[in-house]
Amino acid sequence: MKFNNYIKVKSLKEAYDILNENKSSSVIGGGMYFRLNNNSIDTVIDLSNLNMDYIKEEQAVIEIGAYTTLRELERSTLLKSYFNGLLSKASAEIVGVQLRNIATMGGTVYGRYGFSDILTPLLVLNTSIEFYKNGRYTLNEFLKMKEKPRDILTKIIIEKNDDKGVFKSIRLTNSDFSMLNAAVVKNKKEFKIAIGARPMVCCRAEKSENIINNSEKIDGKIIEKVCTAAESELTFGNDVKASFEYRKELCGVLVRRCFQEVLN
Amino acid sequence: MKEVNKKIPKLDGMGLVTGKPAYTNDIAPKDSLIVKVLRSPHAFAKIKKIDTLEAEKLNGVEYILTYKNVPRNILTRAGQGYPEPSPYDKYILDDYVRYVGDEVAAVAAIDEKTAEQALKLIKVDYDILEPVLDFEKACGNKSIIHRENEAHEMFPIGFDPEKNIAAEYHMNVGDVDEIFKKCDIIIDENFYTHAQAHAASEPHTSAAYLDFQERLIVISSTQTPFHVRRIIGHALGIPLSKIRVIKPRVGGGYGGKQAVHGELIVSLMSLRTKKPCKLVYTRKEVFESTYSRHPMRFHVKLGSDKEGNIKCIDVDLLSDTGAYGEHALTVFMVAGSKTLPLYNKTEAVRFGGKVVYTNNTPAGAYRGYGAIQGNFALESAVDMLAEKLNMDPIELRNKNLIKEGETSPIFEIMGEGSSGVPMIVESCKLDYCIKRAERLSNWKNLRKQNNNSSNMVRGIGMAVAMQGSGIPCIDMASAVLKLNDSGFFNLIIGATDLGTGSDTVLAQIAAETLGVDTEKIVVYSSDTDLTPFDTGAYASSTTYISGHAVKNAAKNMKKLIEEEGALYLNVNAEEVYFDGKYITLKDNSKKVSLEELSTKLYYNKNQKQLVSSGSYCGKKSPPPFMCGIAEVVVDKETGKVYVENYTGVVDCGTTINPNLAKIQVEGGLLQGIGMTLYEQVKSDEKGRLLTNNYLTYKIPTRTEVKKINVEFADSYEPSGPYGAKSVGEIGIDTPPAAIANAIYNAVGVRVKSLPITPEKLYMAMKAKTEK
Amino acid sequence: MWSTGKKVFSGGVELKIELKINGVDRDIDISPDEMLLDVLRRYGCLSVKRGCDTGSCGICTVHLDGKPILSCSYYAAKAEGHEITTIEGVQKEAEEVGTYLVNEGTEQCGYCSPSLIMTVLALKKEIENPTEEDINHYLKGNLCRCSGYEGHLRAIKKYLGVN
Repeated sequence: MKFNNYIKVKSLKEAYDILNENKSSSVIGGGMYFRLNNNSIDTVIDLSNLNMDYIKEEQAVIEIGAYTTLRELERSTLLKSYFNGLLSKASAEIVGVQLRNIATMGGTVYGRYGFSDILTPLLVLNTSIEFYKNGRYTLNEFLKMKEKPRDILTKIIIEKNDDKGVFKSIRLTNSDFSMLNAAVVKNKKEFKIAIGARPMVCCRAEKSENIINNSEKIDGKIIEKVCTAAESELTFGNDVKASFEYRKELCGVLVRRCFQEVLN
Repeated sequence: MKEVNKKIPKLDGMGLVTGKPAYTNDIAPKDSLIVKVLRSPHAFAKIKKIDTLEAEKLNGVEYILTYKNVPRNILTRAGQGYPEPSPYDKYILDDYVRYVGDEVAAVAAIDEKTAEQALKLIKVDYDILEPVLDFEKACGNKSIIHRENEAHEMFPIGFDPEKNIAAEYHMNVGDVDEIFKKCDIIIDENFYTHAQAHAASEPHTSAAYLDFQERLIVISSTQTPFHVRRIIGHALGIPLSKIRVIKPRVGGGYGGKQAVHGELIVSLMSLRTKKPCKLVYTRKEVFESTYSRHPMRFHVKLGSDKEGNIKCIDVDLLSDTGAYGEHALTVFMVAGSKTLPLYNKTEAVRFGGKVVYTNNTPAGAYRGYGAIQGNFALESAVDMLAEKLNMDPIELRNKNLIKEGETSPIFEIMGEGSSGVPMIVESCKLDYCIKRAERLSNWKNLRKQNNNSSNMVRGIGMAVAMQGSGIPCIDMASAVLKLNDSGFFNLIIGATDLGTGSDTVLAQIAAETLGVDTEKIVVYSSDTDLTPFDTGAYASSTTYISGHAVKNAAKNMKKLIEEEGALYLNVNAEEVYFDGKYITLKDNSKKVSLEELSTKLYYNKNQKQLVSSGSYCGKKSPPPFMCGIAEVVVDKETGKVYVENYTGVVDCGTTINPNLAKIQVEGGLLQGIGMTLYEQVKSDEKGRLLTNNYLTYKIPTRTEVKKINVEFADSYEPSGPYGAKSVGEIGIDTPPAAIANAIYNAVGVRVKSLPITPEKLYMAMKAKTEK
Repeated sequence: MWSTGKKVFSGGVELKIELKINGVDRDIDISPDEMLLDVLRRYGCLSVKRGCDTGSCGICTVHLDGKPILSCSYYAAKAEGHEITTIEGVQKEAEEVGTYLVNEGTEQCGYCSPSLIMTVLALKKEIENPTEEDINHYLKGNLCRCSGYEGHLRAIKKYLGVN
């Protein structure tokens, strides 16, 4: 990415104003993948000075500031104590410590990267995101939006509950992006399933969720049914990492493995 | 042995690990112009028009090279001895581009941004030609890749550009067809290997400037400084005496820096601008525009009797050299010459085929150099034979493998590019290597097929390998030793340490011969003005060939010291001996220390400089041997293979420095494992490399393989310096076959093409179940 | 000796930032889109090297406020006001780790060694009594093509006193 100006803004308002007055401007997170973009723009907006680097426990939610790094996510004792450590574990698998010290939650979420190992587990939790002007969306809504709001993502809000989550992925080497990833949570009411790196951005396997959530008994048979359903309800694609066919096969395997662990 | 077979830290180690400036980009002139290369977006095209006017006008642009203003001297970049066994088929810049990434033009500018901007301003009008991307369809294709009249071979290598053939070779011993008729069991299979990338940590970097006498000084991360000087001289049409090539520390090579890459362009830029110039390849350029391993297709036929005596081997080979023919013939030949002698009890052997041009990324030298490809095919086929015989693969190999004191006719028939030399294998502890690896790996217990229904299945497989130690009668090395006051030495060598530790190993050999401590040896390598000749770091030659040269120089130095010591003591030279510290009369009545003598020689008495030299050209190429055993766990549901344990037992003769030898093997093994399981090469239908960075081309991390366990056999090669053979390449050869064999042992599926990615194995398992 | 200071830019506007490099506060001229790696090399920290262009190899590792980051993927402008440490700034500690590496012969070409050491130093600060698994996990982003990593592990375990 080439640009002419780099501005560390003093307020969200300033950031928002630049972003909307200058069409050739963009907010930067860690800059990790931003930099690999081959475009050229006028101005980059950096939010480093706005104290958006936090993981806070509130009454009913956990709030993660947009400038929180993946490494902080991985290390957070708070997050380790929730959701079976789902977010910390998923984060820990990503490339290396140095990268995780740079990449931010805001960059990861706003980027809606297909390869993200963070969006998939976030999607099975009750996750919302908050923009400076546009307010809140559920993560699911945001991922489905045709056009992202031209706004500043400020934080990620996760409902505290008894969700027990499991994340699984398959990679060529351990520093690779996932060829496919999956997350499943179980709570008192229901199961939720998300599949990512399809290679399109992750999504929920809602029909498969319905099958298991409407079933009276949870046994091997029903899980097999869920796995098959997930393979057929979702779309997969080809890229350099894996073919559509292989991803489809992996989907069932990863979902099954998530269930085996989440039911344990 | 006092200094040899000793774990001495690498002499340059501490400087490197603490980050001192040592590599080309660290020591290139600070004010260098930045050179950037415009590269072809097309696999095959003719440049109809190239317009550099806009780019030239850009502030800060100093010079632009296109095919129109460079000398049109055809060459090979291969970086081999002269005359090269590679076809001359490349210009510095040409009006044809033959692969995506081929050079179109080059810009020298005041900084990187300007240079990159200038590249964008160069307008090129291409006449796009039909590329040849499938190497199995290259031979005789209507698209001819090299039509240039000047293209030629230096001596017969089967070069036939009209048919897209870079080289062709055939040999046979005995009557293969007759012997096959008598065989009870025949294995007949095809195997494919792919274009592994070297992925050296330091991208290819070169810099050039003119000194005050207008001599061209080139600093380059190269494995072959003397060949680089020769090729620059030829390409630019300037006398070799006007060129000096300096090789500083190099950040890994593995064959990838044997050829010239940026040196020609950066040299020409410097001559044209009269300013220092620097060219640092991006990682993408390293992937797309240097070269990789030759992809190959093997058709292997093995025949044996019922008892498992291998009678006959027939290999038909097709190799893809990509757009240019660097190392085309020699890599091809090594696929046979460094595998077939392993099974020397055969009655007939046939080996032959073609190396074809395609519009893919060029192929070139890469550690293993054909042997790893051949090993995958042959050692997979031997395991298939063992299965048919219902015999343990180790037993089958023990029955057929070459033993100490034996020979193979292949040694004499096949060299590298021409015929070889006859050779008795004077050191071969392969039998021990196998026995020891069998024990260390728990072969007997793990080999038993475990029929559990788990999705994670364990398997174990093995392969044996051989390599060479330099190219006999071609590779020459030399060394100079200089005695300094206070009694320390400069060892000045052309041998090219690229991180292997050869400076240290050679210092140890010098020290051993002189009887001094290694710390008394200060090494300088390599610089075409200041050091004597060495062919360079390739073909596993440095310890064996350069080691001999150093030993010869040290022997000569020892003689000089004894002569001068005797003169100092007023006796005849025969009456004294030098023990590393003192020159002493044999009756111990008088002595003088080297410290004193050397200082006196400088300042006081019989004043002179003691300098000795030594050269060596190998008469044979004793093979190092090894046995590799892979223990894997296969995830049947995903096809993912986990290497739990890799055992390697190696016979490389004496390990001059056991630590460095061990790392050579461990590192080689992991590169081989990487090639086998992770390092996938993909291109699109237009010949564009998709795996052109580390996000898509995955080399192993430190968490991939659970354990690599390397040991050495107690071995001594009589023809080697202090019993040493080579160790640089042997480590890479066994993993493809050993892992493929282990996977077969685990899940009963035979993958015959590399790499064995999870997807490929999964699909193969699925196809088998569906059958 | 390698400090050069000024740089001519053809394109973007120059930017002045304050950066503490190896304990020294410096006023630095950068291009707005320049990566930290290039600035550090320009200001004499030649230990900092580029191994890839994608943030994948770890060879450009430096510390930002004591934490290891990839200087190839970190905009210099972003680093403004922070403290950067390269191996030039921790030579004594580097030699300590380095001794273990060279005693195994595992540094080989050495190109990735300074970055490996910087990551090891961060690991030592961050994780008490690390296990072998912790070490491998922490260093996963540091690629090495020469050594096969076994020697690294032998050396680093000795350095950290891990059995």
